[in-house]
Amino acid sequence: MSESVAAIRKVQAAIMAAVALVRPDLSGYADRTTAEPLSDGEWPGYVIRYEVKFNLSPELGQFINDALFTFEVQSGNTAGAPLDQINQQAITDISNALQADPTLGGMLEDIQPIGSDNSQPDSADVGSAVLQVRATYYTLVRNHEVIVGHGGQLFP
Amino acid sequence: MPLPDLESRTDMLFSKSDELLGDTIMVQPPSSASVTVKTHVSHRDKTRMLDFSTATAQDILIELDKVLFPTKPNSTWRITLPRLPGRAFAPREVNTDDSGFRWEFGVKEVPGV
Repeated sequence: MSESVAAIRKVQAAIMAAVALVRPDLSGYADRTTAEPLSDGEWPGYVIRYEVKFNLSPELGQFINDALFTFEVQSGNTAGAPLDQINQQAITDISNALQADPTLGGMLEDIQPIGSDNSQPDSADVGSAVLQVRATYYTLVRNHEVIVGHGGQLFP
Repeated sequence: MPLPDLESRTDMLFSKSDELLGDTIMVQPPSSASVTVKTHVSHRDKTRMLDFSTATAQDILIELDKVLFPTKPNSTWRITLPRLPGRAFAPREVNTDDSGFRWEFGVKEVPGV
């Protein structure tokens, strides 16, 4: 029996896979707590988190999931470019990676970036900037693990 | 017997303390040769809370005797620390310490040096 995976975790994994294709050097950390800081050797990288709202779709057979993913991109002090330039390039690359296929292989209805900010001067040798993207997708009413894909394909 | 006058000995206490307990570092003011001195260095890291994630980065603190370096260090100076080979740092946030005898500052890494 395969391990159960929540729908939102499937979407998160698909997002991170899409980013890794474009920026293999940009490490993604889905499950790092604040007690496990990133450090030298893990930059450039990003930590990702999400929140989701559910609503019954008009057809009443599915939930529409409205997910907000937040990336916090971190970079260390690097020769040749200031921290913010490195972070803004990472944000741009993530946005472009998700826009290349906004259904993420047919799983989503859509995914769009909705905003980012300037790098914060967190210390002399590390800086971070935030990107938020909004993803919409459908799940079965009585089985919230199963995503109903863009073309009707199920992602169990 | 009069009590010892600590104030008149403070500067000497600092220099003696550096000599006996200090860490060896190299300090290079601009357009000058690198100077090797012993002084108090805190090599600590610090964890910072960012927007929602955290990061650990160096939070080094260095003290320099104003007798040896009367000019206030700035970001054009270069500091190298034997415990962190291959890396160079520039002073930042340079302040006078409580005693008034020493410069106290953090550093920013200068990559590619």
